[in-house]
Amino acid sequence: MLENLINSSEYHVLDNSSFEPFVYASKMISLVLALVVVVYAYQFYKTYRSPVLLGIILSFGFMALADIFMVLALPTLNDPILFNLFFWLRLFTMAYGFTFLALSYHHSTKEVGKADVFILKISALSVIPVFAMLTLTWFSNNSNFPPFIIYDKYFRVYNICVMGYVFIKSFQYSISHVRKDFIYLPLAYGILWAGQFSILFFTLDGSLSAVVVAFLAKDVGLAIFVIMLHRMSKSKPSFKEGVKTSKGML
Amino acid sequence: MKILQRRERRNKLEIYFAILNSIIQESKSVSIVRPTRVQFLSNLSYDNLSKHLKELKEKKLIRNSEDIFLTERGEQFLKDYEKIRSFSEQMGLDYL
Repeated sequence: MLENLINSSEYHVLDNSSFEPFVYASKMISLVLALVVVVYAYQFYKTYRSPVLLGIILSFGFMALADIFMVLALPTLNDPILFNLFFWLRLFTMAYGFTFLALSYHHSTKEVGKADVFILKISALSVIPVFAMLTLTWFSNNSNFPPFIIYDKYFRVYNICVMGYVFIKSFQYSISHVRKDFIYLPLAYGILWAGQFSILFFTLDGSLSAVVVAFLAKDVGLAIFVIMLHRMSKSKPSFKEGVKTSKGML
Repeated sequence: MKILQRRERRNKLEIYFAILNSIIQESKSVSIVRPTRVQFLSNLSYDNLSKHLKELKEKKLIRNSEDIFLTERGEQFLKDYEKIRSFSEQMGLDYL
């Protein structure tokens, strides 16, 4: 039943030998780009333990994880059970990534208080019961999940809503901080948002061009982030001063 | 007519920087850094300073016994401050 459902769905377009290298290349690019953002954020998080920074790390980390599941799913197209499993994991990780992003932006508009830290921690911890439930369902259902294709659209709609919120927040920030280079931020989020619309169109009509646009949108959106961060690291001097520490004068 | 200009409110990142920077400046001239001097240099009320010093201690950016010292992480924070601020600006985050 599952096999028939996947074969009769829009996802059979992935089973195309000329399309496969594009998917691999696109997903590898977005995986690397998302990890670059994670590394940038993590190097600051080591020094300044901010829950908002943690949210950024988790969100881009989950986006990278979603790409890993996509890369793992492709060779399993002829194994509906594994393909279904990897796509469920992909849907969850992608939705989690966007949720953490929205939470980070929601909490970054005001000084983070104890209640906000609590909400962010609870959100991060919710990953454990969700994946525990997934594992439990997997084992109790004879190593199987309900077909992801039935629920795919709901995840896409959820992602569109969440990314819309992030886009609006970034757009408001750019308007309030009038500087030429701030346009890149809403542009990057706007492209990621548009990618989610495109993938929704794909789930509705199965058009190959929609999925190509969606994959390219993620690559381009993440590339803008990396370019922004690279320019930032080149332009800003670091603070250099003789510092007295508990270990003496440096 | 006198126009009252309200100073822009500093966020936590900027306040932390002001405090840690004050500690360095003070440590250059005196052997023991006192909270009252840090309060004066960082332009904070004593209550606010106490609250932030507690947070800085929790974040392991300072060590606070008789006097105040920067830890290695605190020193790294000062080195990375511009980058952290720039990162938060580029990512559109008002408060970290």
